[in-house]
Amino acid sequence: MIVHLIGSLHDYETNPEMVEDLRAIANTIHDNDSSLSHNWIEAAIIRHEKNVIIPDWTPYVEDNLAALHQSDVVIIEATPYSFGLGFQMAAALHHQKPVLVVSRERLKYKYISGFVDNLLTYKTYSNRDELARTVSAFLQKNTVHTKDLRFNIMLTRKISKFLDEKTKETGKNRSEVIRDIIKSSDTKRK
Amino acid sequence: MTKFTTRIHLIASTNDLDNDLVYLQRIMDVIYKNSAVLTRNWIPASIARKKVTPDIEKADWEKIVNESLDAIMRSDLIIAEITLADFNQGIQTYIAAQYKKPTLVLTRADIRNRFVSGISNKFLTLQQYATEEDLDSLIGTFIKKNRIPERDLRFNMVLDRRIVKYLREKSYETGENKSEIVRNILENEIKQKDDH
Repeated sequence: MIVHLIGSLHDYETNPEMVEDLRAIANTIHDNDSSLSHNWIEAAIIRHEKNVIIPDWTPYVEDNLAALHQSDVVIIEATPYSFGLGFQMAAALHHQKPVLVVSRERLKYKYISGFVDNLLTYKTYSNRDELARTVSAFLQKNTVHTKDLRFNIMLTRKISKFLDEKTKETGKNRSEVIRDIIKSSDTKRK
Repeated sequence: MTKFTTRIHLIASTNDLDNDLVYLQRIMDVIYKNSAVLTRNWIPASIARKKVTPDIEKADWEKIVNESLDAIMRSDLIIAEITLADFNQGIQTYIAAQYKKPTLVLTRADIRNRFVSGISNKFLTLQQYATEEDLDSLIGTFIKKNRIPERDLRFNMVLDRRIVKYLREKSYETGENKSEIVRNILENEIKQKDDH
């Protein structure tokens, strides 16, 4: 599964714990046989250590949003509770991604707690073991199987008759007809 | 004279009122001076709530979120004061752009090396300001550029012979006048574009 990890190292000097928290999330992602869509953490640490100023952040932001789009799920370390993190959370929900927001600060009485969205989960953590457990549980809950799934379904007489007619008409088997209809319905929905 | 009733939603934070209040009040003043109105005048309510019950646990966040998102949808324009650059402002700014609302993003902060400086979206305009006077010109220009007249606009255009023939046939066929047909075609086009 591809995971997009979002975090901020802007307060790197005042919050050195953040680096280890982000690394812990990345390690937990790998431990769960998943991978990061965009492995930005180590490069960002070096930038901070060497005080590198990036004159144009547009490609950086675009890369992040592209990585978000390509991922199956999104994890946000939101302790800094900053603008960019909120912006990307809204983008993730807009793209229908399951989102886990984790923070060392309590989120229960903040703006985020007023969001009602089935795709959004937010949790507070106090140590890295707790963080790893939260991330693992989220990944396991949202695992996208990479292989095709066998699926059994009861068909009513009406549907069965319709499928028979469709198979004669198109030369496709019933499964293909059903898959085409589902895909077409999904395209229309989008 | 054309009247304007532009509705503006102000995205801001009341977490640093000692520094921000004077600027937020100025933003509201400039909005009213430019014949626009706030869709949801939430700042005085937020300040009052903090004075009476400083305990944020008593705030109904679900209601606040719903009201702020509803205000974005109902607004013609959005102004986001993001000097504090907090999470809520990021969420609302993204949603404003998603709803295709022209959004003026204002900050007094140094945005070098910040995420916001790299956002490229045709509906978002990022501007730095230093003084209250800067707000007058930035907001005034933004409102004038994007305001929507109160009444429908009269619009004249030249039609070629082929279009005239088509509209005449359609008008005869449907009983609608030419203007109605053109408006329907344009509205369908907008709907299709929105659906995509």
